[in-house]
Amino acid sequence: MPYRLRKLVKVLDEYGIEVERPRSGSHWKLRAKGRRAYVVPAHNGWKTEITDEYIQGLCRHFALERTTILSKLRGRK
Amino acid sequence: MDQRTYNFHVLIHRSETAPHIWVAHCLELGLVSQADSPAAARDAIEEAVTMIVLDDLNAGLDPLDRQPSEEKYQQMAKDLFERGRTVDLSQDDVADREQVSRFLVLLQLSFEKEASPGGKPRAAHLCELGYDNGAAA
Repeated sequence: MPYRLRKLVKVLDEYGIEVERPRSGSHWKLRAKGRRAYVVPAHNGWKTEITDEYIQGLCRHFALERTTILSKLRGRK
Repeated sequence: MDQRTYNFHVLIHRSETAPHIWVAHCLELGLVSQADSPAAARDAIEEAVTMIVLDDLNAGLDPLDRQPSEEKYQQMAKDLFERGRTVDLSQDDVADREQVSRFLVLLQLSFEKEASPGGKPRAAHLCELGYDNGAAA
């Protein structure tokens, strides 16, 4: 099931991953200390639906445990 | 003009858990984006790739020195190379009309050597392939 970007950003904040919103474009940048930047699709702003496939790629890049992230996303109001 | 040119393979498919969303993977960079149509997903990953390549170049890093996508997506792309047929992704209804569920796009981006933060590359879609679920099985 897809998750809202708002939820995902809150979870990522727990891991020290910060969001940078460019002045234009439909992606936001994600940054964490010691890691290269990644991007997240944000064409509908905070309401953007984020797929499992995206979360898989994100977790792979930032070396996060996918099941933990998904669990946090499901549990978060 | 002094340029850096990169060729990327982009795999586009329906999300397994949210079929109304098309997911795009840049296989070389391990990047993922998504949108509500195959063409929009292609454009979305092009924007994402551009942002990341510029970010790396401006930091003096090699964009290709990133973790590539998972093996299963590499395999999907390989299958498309072997069995896919040329399609026109710019057609809004290409997925329905052609009964295609997966696409592969060869994306070429050319950057000026001294990339600026706001700099935009020249983009070309060298090849667009697609095949249906049956062929993928």
